[in-house]
Amino acid sequence: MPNEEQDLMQAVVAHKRSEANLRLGIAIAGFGLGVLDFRTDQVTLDHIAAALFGLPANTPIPRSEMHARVHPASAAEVKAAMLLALDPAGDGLMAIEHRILRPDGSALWVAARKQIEFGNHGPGGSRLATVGLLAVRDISGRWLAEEKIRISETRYRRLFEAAHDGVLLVDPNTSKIVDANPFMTELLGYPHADLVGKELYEIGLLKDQASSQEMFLQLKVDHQVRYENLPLESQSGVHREVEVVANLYDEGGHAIIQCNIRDITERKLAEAVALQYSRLFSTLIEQAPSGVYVIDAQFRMSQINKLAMPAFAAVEPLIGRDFSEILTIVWGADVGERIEQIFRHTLRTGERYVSPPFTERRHDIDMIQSYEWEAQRVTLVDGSYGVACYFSDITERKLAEDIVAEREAHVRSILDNTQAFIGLLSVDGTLLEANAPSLAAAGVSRESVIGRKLWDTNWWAQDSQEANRLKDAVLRSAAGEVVRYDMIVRLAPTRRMDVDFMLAPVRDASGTITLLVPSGLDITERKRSMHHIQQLMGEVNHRAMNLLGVVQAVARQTARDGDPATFVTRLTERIGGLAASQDLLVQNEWKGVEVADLVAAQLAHYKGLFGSHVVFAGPPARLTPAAAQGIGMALHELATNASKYGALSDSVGRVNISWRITDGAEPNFEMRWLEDGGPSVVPSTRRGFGQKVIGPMVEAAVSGSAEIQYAESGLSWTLIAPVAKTLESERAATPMAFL
Amino acid sequence: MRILIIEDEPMIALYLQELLEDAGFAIIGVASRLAKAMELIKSAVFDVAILDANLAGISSSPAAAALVARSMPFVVLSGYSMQQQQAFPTPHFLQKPCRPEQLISILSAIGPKP
Repeated sequence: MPNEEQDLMQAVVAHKRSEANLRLGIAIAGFGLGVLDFRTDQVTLDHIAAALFGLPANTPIPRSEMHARVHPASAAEVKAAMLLALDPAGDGLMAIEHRILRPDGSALWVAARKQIEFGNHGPGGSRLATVGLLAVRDISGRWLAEEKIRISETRYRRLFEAAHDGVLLVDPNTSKIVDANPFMTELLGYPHADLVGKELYEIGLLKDQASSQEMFLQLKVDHQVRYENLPLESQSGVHREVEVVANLYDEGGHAIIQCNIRDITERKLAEAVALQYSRLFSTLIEQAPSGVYVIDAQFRMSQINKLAMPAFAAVEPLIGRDFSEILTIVWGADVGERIEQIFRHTLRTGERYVSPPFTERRHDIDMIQSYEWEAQRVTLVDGSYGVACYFSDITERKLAEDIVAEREAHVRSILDNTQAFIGLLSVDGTLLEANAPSLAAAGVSRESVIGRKLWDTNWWAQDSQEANRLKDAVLRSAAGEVVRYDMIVRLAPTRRMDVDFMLAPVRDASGTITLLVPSGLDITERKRSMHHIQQLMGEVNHRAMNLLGVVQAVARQTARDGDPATFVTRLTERIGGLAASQDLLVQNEWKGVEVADLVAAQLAHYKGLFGSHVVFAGPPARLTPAAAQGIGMALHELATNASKYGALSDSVGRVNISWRITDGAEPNFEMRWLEDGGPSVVPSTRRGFGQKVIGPMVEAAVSGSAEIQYAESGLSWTLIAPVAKTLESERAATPMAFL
Repeated sequence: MRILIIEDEPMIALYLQELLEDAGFAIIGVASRLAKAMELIKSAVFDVAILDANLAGISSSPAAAALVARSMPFVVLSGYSMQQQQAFPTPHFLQKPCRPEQLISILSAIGPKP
């Protein structure tokens, strides 16, 4: 034992001898130290080791306290290592990395090394651990870094495995594939094992060996090669479009080529669809039946169709130009800004804008123009928003509409200011329009008749017979007939109107009857005057016949008492006298004859003697037609007699004719024929026709009395008759009341 | 045969009177107004009447009615045509101017037979 004690002590001394140097070295390496004494089962830790374990420094503590700090996850491993190190048959060395759990709850990774010394102080002189030296270092930092690498590698591997890009790793020296990810095997249809060891051209990725070499050369220069749109056929013959990016880089000291192969078949397809969509979009805009242009998200004119071009003829350049600038050129600042606000609002909110009729003066052409337009937000091919504007130039149409409206107003004013009644019917007889005169005639309002069947309206409310006739007329007219008849419209029980009514169909260009036009003229007055004329005609006939009766009587009388030799002359003269009176009556429209006119007419033969040998005077007095005829005939007979036998038979005799109206309640008309200066008168004994005419006949005509005196100086004739039977009263005489 | 003349035109009345007297008729009266005509139709003794349709602007239809009432035959003589004179209930109608022999034959026909 003393030997062993000595050995131990020597060892301790040896240790202690180099202790200063040792400690310095260990401290620099970051090691904490501990001395284990297995005999007392205690350990003494320096301040570094004590800090690691969270135990007191430089004082012996039970070894179990230190063991208690070993992390439970490392406990079994540490225990096993200790048992091994404590085996007296071993070298007493222990090296382990383990975790410790400190009193504050934190964990550390440490690298621990122990050197155990043995002595022969066991039972029977067997070897037993005596002392040990512990060096411990905090390796948490290193361990963490390694952990990160491990995780990173796993992740990388996962990426490699799961990537949707095909990845091939190629050795640049051998040109052979060294690894391929599952996507690649799937893409090509070759198992992993078949890919590894092949060259790129062998799997169809490059055309041939020459292309392969070319790629490697280029990689050496540029370290990267990119192929777009490589066609690739899988083993099963499916065609794919791929994009290949090859990178040459250094991996841990040796070069490697990584090829990323991306299947761009879908993208190509999408691009083709997008292109098609873009073309369709352009075609749609170009073929649109109205003007279309598109403003992009940056508020620039991006597209415009042919129909829209004329509206922007003054803007150059147009495509790509800021839209607010364009608006200012076309519309000027004010209107332009108004439109700009609308477009910006639509672009921002997606709210569709439909313009009300838009009529403004254009700034560029200085003309009033009308447009219909709307702005709508659209998604452009690149996915951004824009505004499409659809518009039509309606200037011409508006102008035409204005003209039509003006014409309609003209037509309406013509219709309303005409005398005729004019309306418009649908083919079933519904009244669509009626002009003002027709409404005024019946005193009805437009509202009360429009939309009703014509025969149900007020015009015929009083007369079902006319209403039925009208209904029938509508049916016939709707079948193509122009119907015309005289209609009686009873406007009130006491008021009727005669209407010349016509119903005419109106056909459209194809010949179909679309409307009926009823029209009418108020012919009440015309009818009345026609009736009047008919009455007058009858009356004239009546008078003519009467006159002929008189002529017949005169002829008979002339023949009875005259010399056949002078019959024709006498009859002609008498008919002439009748005609003269008749003439005056007609001239005066049967309203009587002035006495002076009658005298002048009956003595017209002696016109040359008027004022000298024939003198006549009297107040104005108008004889009735019957009196005019009777007195006229008497004057004719007196004149004939005077020229034959009396005052007018020589050149010295005179005839004085006078008339007057007496005063009194029942005044008389008195007329006197006085001859003097002529040959001596011999009273006539004959009661010839002349005597009858100046006597009983004229008396009968005027209900008066006639007196004839044959004085020496000459004949005198006096007629006295009531004014009431002789003269026209002040009012107009009824023309048909004289026979 | 005794004749009553109702005629307002004196010349025609005279003519008829002389014509018929010459032909052997007796003229028992001439009326030129409706009142006188009505009076004579009532009171006068005659066989046939000659009636002018219009007396001084007044229709003589009351005279016609009175003649019908007395069952006196009459001939209407008028300046109006037959169509204008439908108010007169007689088949014997002559329009002026009439032929004398026509008038005489009608009067003989409708008058009492000798």
